[in-house]
Amino acid sequence: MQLKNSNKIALAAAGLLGAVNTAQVSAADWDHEASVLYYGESDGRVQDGSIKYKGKRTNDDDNVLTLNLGIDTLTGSSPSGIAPSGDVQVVATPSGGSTTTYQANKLTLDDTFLDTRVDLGASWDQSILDENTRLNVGASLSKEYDYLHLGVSGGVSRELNNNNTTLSLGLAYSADTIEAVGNTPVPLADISAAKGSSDESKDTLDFVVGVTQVLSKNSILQLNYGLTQADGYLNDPYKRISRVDSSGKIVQNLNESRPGDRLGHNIYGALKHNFSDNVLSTSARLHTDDFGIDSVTLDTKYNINLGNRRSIEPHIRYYHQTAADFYAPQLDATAPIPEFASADYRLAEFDAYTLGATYRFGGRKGREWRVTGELYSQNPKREKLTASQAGLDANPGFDALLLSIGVKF
Amino acid sequence: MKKFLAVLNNRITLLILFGLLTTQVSAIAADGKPVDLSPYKGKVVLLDFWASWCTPCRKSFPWLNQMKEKKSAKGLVIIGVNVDEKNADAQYFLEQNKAAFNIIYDPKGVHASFYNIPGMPTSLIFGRDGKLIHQHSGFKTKNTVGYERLIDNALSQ
Amino acid sequence: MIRLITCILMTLSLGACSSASVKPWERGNLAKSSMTFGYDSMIDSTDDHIYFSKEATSGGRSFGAGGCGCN
Repeated sequence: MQLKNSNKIALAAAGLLGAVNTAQVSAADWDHEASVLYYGESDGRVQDGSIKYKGKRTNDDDNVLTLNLGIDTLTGSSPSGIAPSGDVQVVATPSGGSTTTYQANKLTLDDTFLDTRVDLGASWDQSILDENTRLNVGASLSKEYDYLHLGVSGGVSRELNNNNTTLSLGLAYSADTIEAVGNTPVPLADISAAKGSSDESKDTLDFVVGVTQVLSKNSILQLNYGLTQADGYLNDPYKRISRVDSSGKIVQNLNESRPGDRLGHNIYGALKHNFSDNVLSTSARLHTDDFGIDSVTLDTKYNINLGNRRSIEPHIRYYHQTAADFYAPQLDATAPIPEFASADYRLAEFDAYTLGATYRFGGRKGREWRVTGELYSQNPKREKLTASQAGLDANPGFDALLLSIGVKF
Repeated sequence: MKKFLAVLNNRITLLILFGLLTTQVSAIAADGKPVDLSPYKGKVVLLDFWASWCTPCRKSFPWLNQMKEKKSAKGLVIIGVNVDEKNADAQYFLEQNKAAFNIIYDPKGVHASFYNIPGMPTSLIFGRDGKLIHQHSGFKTKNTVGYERLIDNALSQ
Repeated sequence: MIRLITCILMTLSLGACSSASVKPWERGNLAKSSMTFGYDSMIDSTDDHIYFSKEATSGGRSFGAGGCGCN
């Protein structure tokens, strides 16, 4: 499974603009943040451990340099896309080096999967023209065994109405390289067929425009519109899809195939309201794209001040997405093979719920500590398989636990 | 229908006049009150508007303390005007950032609105004649040389 | 009819004027970290990354804004 790098609107390499400002160097303030995180899914699926660091240096001219660094280690298994069957299946692994045996009547999880990912980012933020206009530029890089991401970003923001209104605009470009283990499988070819090239590329352009508006002494609103255009290799090289006959027998396993471009839009609205000591943060996001995926996300947090620099913040999130046009849990062996087909559970129709809480407390020397625990549950719509596969579920969903500790110092 | 619209029009006109009136009234009330500088006649006064939630204020306090120490003998008076709505917040800040100068409290922003403070923090410098000679918002270490020169100029009058 | 609409719009805009913008010295509550967008950007971007890896939607949030508005 690839870890896809989200396009952070990050800022640029220090060396470019941080030139010579020796007189003010001593007046710069550093803010640091570090966190460790554990993420684990049910049924022996994916587990991830990570460590992250972020450093922010603000100088006397209010120029801000931000550096971030993260390391993730992934283990566990991931659904292969091959349909569950009443028979035991022995199939070639994606790397081609060996075979995997899938038990009868069980979800086909591919466990030949262990990876470490490193990501680095740097950004620069400064005022330009006047004190109410700011420019930011950034660069990011991430590397895992089979995936390389390189990205640049830039944006501007402008304050109006005595800092009551902020307009912002951002653009990010990513150039990613996918070097699938065992080479890139040919889309819709048999999984044991000869592979294609050693690397593929994917380009993504992200655009965001937004406004943040102070509504009152206790209320602030943010509205954003975003657009994402991705081109190139959008497949998951390790995901398969089965051709199943009417008796529920798997006739053939094929490599999945997705379109070579994807255009998506989203609108996002968030509101924060202060109730004397407590703060309600709520947001909604609507998304649509030409893969046929429409989604809605609703997120609410309530920060309760416990006094003495402590607070507890319960969190609830609801997410629903429709399936991609070319998603199917399996293909009918008697029907012609469609142009695009994927059984990737992440493209299916599902509801997802998150329930969690964050406890914050102040430590010595002004440190701010944060402990977060969350439960995530993905509940897919049950898709019908053949009669002989009755009782089998190609995509049963999963639960996941997230635990994180962080500190700002 | 026509009669209804006519009545509605009259009501709306009344509403608009009422709205205009209340806006004028609230505008007058919002003008605020100046800080009474009469006890400091003949001195140079620096009014510094600050709040516990204002990050640059943490940097300005050591400099204000320094100015008070160096120049109060020559006739400089520094008054910190706190605009925190909750006094407890101001006291917590003062525990972490000691102020060698006087603090007055303006929780309702009566003084802040009189001087129409454009940003936080804001410093107002009044000459020995009581006239406002300089105002600046924000606090940057590189500008302190200039501020000090201004104060010295005012003190030499 | 046009007069009616104009009158309504004028009244509404007056209402907007009198509630006005928040003054610089009134921003205490807006300066709270929990009232600032992007204050917890590290855990936010970690969450976004996890969701993007498990779901088919990305994006939404943008820059931090709000806060104390200090100069």
